[in-house]
Amino acid sequence: MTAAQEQNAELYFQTNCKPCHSIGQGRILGPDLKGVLDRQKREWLVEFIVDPNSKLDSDPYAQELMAATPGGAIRMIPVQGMTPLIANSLLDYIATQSGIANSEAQPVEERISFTAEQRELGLQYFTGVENLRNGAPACASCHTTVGLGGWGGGSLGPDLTQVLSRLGGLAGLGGWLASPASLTMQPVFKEHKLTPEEIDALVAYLENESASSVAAAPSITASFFGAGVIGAIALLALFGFLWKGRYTATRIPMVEKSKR
Amino acid sequence: MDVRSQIAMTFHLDKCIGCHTCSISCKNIWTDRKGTEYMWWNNVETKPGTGYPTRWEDQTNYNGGWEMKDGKLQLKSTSRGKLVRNIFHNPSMPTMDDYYEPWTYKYQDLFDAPEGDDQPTARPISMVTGEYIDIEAGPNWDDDLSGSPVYAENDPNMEALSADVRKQMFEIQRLAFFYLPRMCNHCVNPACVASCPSGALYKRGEDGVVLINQKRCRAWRSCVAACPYKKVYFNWSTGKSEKCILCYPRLETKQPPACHHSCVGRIRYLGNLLYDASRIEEVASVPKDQLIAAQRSLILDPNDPEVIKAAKENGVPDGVIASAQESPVYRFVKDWKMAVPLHAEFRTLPMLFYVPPLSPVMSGSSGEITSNETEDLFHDIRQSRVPIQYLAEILGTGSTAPVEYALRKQFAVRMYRRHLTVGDVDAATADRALFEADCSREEAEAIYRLTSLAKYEDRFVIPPAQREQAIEMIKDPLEHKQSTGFGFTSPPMRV
Repeated sequence: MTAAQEQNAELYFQTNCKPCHSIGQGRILGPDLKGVLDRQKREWLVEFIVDPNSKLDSDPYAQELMAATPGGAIRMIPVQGMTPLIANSLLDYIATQSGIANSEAQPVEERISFTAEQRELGLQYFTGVENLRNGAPACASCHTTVGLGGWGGGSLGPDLTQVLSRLGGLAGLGGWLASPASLTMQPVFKEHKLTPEEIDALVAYLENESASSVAAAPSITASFFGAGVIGAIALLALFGFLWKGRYTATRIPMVEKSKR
Repeated sequence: MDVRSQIAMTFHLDKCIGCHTCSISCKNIWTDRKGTEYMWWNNVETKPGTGYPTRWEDQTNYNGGWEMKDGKLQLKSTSRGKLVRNIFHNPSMPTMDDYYEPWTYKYQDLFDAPEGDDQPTARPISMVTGEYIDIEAGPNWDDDLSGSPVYAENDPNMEALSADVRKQMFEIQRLAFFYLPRMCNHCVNPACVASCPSGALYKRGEDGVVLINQKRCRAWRSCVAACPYKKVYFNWSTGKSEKCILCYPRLETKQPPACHHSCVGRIRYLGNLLYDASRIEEVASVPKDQLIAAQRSLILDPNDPEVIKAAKENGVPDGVIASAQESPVYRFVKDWKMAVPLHAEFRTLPMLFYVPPLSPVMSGSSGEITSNETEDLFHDIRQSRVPIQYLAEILGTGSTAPVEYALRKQFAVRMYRRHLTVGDVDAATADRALFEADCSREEAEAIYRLTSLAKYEDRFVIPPAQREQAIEMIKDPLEHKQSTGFGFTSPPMRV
C-alpha cells in the first residue's frame, strides 16, 4: 500500500466510516474496528462493506453485529459508490491503524460538558430559528421532542426525546449527526453537512431533552383535528356574519310569507 | 350620426291569448338539450303575477340593468371593483328554485309495475338530479292566476298601487289579467354585454342581435345577474351561458324567428329600425320619465334623406334601408307611438316593444245578476279592469301618459271600425274619439289593417342577410385561401 493510497483511504474513512466506527476507542454506533481482520475473513468483510444489506438479511454473524448495536436494530447503511477495491484499501488502512494505539482524537463524551448557551443554541437550530450554516433543513421539519411545546415539530421522523440512549450516548449521537446514516437522512445531509459547533449545540440540547421523565412528546393528532374543526366552524360563522345580507332565494321566502 | 340597423320586434298584447305556442316552438328548437331543461328563452307570463324567474322585475335582489349613480350610467350588479370581489361567487343570481327545478315523469313505471290493487303512477323526477321530487313551482306556475293569491299579490308592479286599487283588482268580478310574452329584447344598451369579464357577449354589427360566443364564455355568469329581464341562462352541463339568438339562422334565410312564426294570435311583428348609435349613452342617461320619449328619438326616420345618406356613408346596405322603410315595428313605435318598451327604467334600451292591452268590458253584480256596468259596449279606458297605473308600472316607467296614449288610440280605432262595420256608433262619436286619441281616419285605417288583417309579409319584414359583409369588416376571408384548404376551424371532438 503506497502512501498516497493510504492518505486516500484515511480521508475516505474519516468521511464515511468514522461517524459510526472508531479504531480502538470502543463502540460508537457500530463496533470498534480495531483488529477486525482477526475476527472475520477479509472476503467476508469486503462483501459486507460493498453490500451490507444482503449480509444483514441472511448472515448470522452480521445479524449478531446488528443485535449488538444500541437498540439492537441499527443497520449499517451502504456507502454509495463502494467497490471491492475501496473496501480492500479501507481494510488495509484499518489494519495499519489497529497497530497504533489511541491514534484517534478524543471521543465526544470526554471533550466538554455543555453550557446553557449551547443548549439554547441547540434548540434554535432544532426549531430552525437559527439557520444551519450549510443549508440543511431544521430538525423540527421532521422530528419533535418533549421540550418543543405547542404542537411540537414534525412527525415524519421518530421522536428525538430519548435519542441519546437509542444511539448509545454522546459519541453515537455526535457521530450520527456528523453523517446521518439512515436511508432518509443520508441523501439530505450528504450535501449539507452540520458543522462541529452545530453538532455540539444539538447534542447539548438533545442530552438535556433526554433528562426529561417523559419518553416521547404526546400525540397531537386529536388536538390538531379538533382545532381544525373549531377553526372551520369559527370561519364559517364569521363568513355567515359578514355576508348575512347576501341573496339566497326569492320564491321560497315569498311563498312562506304569504302562507303566514 | 352613427346610423346602424337593429332588428326590432313589436308584441301586440291585446291579441295575445296566452297559449304558450311561442315558448314551445322555441323550446323544441333550441332548449331541449341537457343542461337547458329549465331555460325558456321565450316564456309567457300572466300579469299580475311574479313571472319567471320569480319576481324578476324586482331588482333589489337580482341587481339587473343600469342605474344612474353620481351622474354616470353604471351597471347595478357589477363594476371593475365588484367583479374582483365577487368573481367566484356572484351574489345576485337567481337560484334554481327561482326558475324552477325541471322535471319529467317516470313513465316506465306505468308499464313495469307489478299487478296489484292500486293503479300504477308515474312519479315526478327531477331532470337535473334524476331523484324523485315534489313539484312546488314551474315556469308558468301562476298561469291564468292559478297561483293566486300568493303569486299575483307578490307582483312587484303592485307595490306602486294604492291599497284600494289593489283590493279592487282582486275583487272577483273585477279579476282580470293579461299575458306578457317575454324573450330577449336584443337591447341597444345591453347590460349583459357590458358585464361580461371574458368579452364573450357581443352585439352583431349588421342587425344588433345579441349573442354569446360559446368558445369565449368562461362561466363567470355576470350576464345572468346583469340582465334585468333575466333572459341569459347558465347551462349547467356545458358550463356556458346561453340566451335567445333570435333564430339568426332563420333570419339569415329570410324566415322570422320560430316564436314569431308560430304565434297563433299573430301578435308578433318583426322588422329593422335605423338608430343613431352615437346617442346611446346620452339616451340611456335621461331621467326616468323621459326614457320612453328619448328612446323613440334614438330611432331614425328611414325615409329622411339625411338619415339615408348617413346610413349609406356608414355602410348600411340599400336593401337594409329599404327594409327599414317597410318595417311594421317603425309604424307601431314611431308613427303611431302605440308600442312602448318593457320596463324602460332598466335603461338597457330594449328593442322589443309592447302594445299595451285593453281590458275586458267591465261588469258588476247586483244581487244575482251580473251585467255590464257601462252603458255602451265601450267603457272609459280609465276604468279598465286592469288599472292604467298598473300597466304604467310595467310599460310606462311608472307614468301613465304613454300607456294611456296607446290605449286611447286602440280604443278610437275600435270605435271608428264599429262605426264603419256595425254602424251602432255614429260618425261624430267615432271622430271625437279619434280626435281625442290624436289619430286621423287614415291612420286608424292603417292601424286596423296592420292589427287585424296583416299578412305574413306585412308582419315580418326581414332585412337581407349581411353576414358575409359583416364578417369582411373584421376578418379577411381570403386570408386562409390556399393555406388550410379543406379541414376544421377547430379540432374535431371525439366523443
